[in-house]
Amino acid sequence: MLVAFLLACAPKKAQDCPPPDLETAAVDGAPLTLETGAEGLARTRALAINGAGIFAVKTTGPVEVVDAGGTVLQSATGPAEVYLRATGLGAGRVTLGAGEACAASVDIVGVVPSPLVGRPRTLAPFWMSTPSVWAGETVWLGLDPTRWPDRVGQPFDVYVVAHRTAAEWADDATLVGVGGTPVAGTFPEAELAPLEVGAFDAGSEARAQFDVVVDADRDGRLGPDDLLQGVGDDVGFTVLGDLSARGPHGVETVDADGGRWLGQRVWWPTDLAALGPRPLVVISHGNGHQFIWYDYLGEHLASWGYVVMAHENNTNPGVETASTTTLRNTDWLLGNLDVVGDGALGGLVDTGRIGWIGHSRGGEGVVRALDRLMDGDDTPDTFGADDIRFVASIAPTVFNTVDDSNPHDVPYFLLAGTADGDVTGGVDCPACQFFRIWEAATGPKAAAYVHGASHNDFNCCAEQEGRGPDLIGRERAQAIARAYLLAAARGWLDGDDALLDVFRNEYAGFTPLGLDDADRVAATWRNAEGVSDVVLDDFQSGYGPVMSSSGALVTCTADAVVEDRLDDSDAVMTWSDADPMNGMTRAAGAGDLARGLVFAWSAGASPTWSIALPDEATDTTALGAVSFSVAQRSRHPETVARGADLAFAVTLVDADGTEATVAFADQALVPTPYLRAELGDGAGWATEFVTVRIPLADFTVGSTLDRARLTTLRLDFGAAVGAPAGALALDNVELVP
Amino acid sequence: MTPLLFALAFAAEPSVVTPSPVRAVVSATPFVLDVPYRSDWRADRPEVRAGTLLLLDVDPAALVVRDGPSPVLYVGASPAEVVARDIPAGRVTVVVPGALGPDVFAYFAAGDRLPDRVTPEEGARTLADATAAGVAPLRVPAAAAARVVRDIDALEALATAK
Repeated sequence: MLVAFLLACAPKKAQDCPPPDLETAAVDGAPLTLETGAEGLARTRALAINGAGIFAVKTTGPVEVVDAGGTVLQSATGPAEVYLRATGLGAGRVTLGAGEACAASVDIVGVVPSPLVGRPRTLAPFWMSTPSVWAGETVWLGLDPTRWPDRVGQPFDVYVVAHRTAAEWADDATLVGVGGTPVAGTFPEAELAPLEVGAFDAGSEARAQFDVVVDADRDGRLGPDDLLQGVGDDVGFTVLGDLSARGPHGVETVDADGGRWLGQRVWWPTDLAALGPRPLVVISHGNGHQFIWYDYLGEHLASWGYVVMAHENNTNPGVETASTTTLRNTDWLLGNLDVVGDGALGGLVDTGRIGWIGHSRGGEGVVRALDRLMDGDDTPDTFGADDIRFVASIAPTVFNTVDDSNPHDVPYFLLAGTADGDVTGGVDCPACQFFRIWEAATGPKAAAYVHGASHNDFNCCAEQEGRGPDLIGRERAQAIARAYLLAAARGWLDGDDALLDVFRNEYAGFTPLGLDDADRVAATWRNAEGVSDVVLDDFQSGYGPVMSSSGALVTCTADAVVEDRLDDSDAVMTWSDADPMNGMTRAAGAGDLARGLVFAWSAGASPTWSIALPDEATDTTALGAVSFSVAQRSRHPETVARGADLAFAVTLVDADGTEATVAFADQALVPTPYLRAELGDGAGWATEFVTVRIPLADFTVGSTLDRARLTTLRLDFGAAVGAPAGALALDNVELVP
Repeated sequence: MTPLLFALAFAAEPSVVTPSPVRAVVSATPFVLDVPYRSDWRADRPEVRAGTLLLLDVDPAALVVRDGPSPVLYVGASPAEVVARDIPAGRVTVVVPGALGPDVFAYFAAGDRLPDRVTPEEGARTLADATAAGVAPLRVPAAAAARVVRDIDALEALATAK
């Protein structure tokens, strides 16, 4: 529907200066919405100048007028089609014509680009945007009339197309839907109405990338007025496959022996020569274990294209010796690529992309080895600290201080089981409290704490020692390990960032495809410190109930609010009011700094935790999500009484007092603690934080919330939002890209 | 895990295990190395040129291999370098560098320190704790003439053969 706007003029001499007849695609009376971040003609809107003449172009507000080549116009010669693009947010106007008397205008509003792909939900805002979906999962398009009042009622075709770069779009704007014919729809009038657009395969690499185009003018080409998720070189959305399943490559393996403590098993893809140099993943076993016990992982990663080596590990004397064997074995292999496997690896290992995975003492050993490299205490011949692209620890010990066993700013992944009967993770054993290493890491970091997994589930053959209910066994634990460790390798060795959504997309219930419904994993994620996040309160400074670490004021109306080190102070799990950090295992010794907040509420209460956003956080238009880590408190009476997963709601408030709430009781994201009954009365084990990341765009669905002028972030608790009573721990409240 | 190990493993500070799980010295085999090596079982990584292989009779429960904290076997003022263990039989073979007297203190100490982080000073304190705790010295059986072996690999092979 084309509607003309003619806002001008009673011309002084109409015959001398007729105003231009301007047409846009906006519905009658609505300002033309312009998404910021236009690239080429994507995210521009067409403006038709009907009638001959040369017209001066005048703009006010965040808008400019360009021609098809992107040149900003100071005047336009009609008849012609020109294009409007936003230079910022808010209202503006484009006026064409010679002087006020003979001009015509179009009102615009610059808006934050909105994600198009997501999932329907049963609670307000009934929609969850997401950058990633699983293979075979229905993909939904969500168009919110609040965002595009100028498009209400207009028909469109939606295409899901294979991802194209900006250059590829410029070269060919023809829309070719992956699923065949496009899906037809109409911009909804009342509220967001999810539109099913198909289900897609992840392909042989378990990762396929797509763009989504709402072809508003239905011309089968990407152009002005169309909506695009995947502007520029950004990917619209990603479809991920089963990361626990074997990959597309055949696998060869050989055992090598370079001398004392240099026994190795090496796996590589059979078509390595065709793949070219590939990253190396090293596996360091634990005490009493053997390097030949990790076939499940070596074969898996090699089948996905990695060269993998597991080595003898000198763990009996301790972690220092383990770290030495990791260093020497990595060095030896890289120095003997022309020999191992009859030279099959020669020239085909990318020595600048190495991942270290360690189990138990080996899990601390790889971190210690990195620390030694970082500190210059060890200088291998063939690689250096910069070549270690990620470190992963499976149920690591923490015999050293976290100053000595420190991942620094290298990407770090921690995998552990709640039923570990060796490196127990328990409050009575600081050397078993693996989350201490995670807390010390300052690079991007992820953790997956797997319910019912034991210590030796993660190798083939050591005696089983798992303790606790619902033990999942080796098959399940290793499937989970395969999925998460492949995601880490793909994300951090190959730069395949979308794979890391298995860690940071907890809000969407994004446990990897291939896990059983019964598999329960508490997953956490945090971006690299000091890079891009706006930290509202990480509780590391500004101690006390009214001051955040960012200096912003905090109000918490819950009961028994305590901010302290995340350290169980009495080393038993029996609940005691004198130990509000019961079950916390993230700070135990020198160098452990992790702090957080705990509180509770009882039936009938509806408490809140709110923070007045600091000045640098009020404009969230360039940010992506609200993020925080949260856990149910082990063996707290309210946790015990609830005995189930828990939910609450998050509210944003803008300067006009408009509130927008996202509730997630339909997600039940905060897991009930693993009910391991040791170390005192009751059941419950080490506190299981999960990271919840809620897209900021979701707060504006059906809302006029102004993301450019926010004032408050509030967490709402109580019966109305999911749990009439509960006891929670909170940490790392942030706004993230 | 046995109650014994469970109790011992979770001790936060080094503490001598009593009664000592080390029941006797079964045999002693002096050795001399052609190629010395540095032992990883102490923080100061002493060079080992000669010493004695001691075969100890130990409560099998104390020999279970774990990753988390577990009691560390000491001989004298130093963590013992374990080169062979037969858990069901309760036998463990350790390297004791240097000269050995007619008696030896062999005992376990629990804590969060693994051998490679134990300094000579800490070891001396632990030995003092052991004697104070009443750990009795064990008689070392009469030894044959020293065996000359090439290097640490050969020494480990000798220990395993025993």
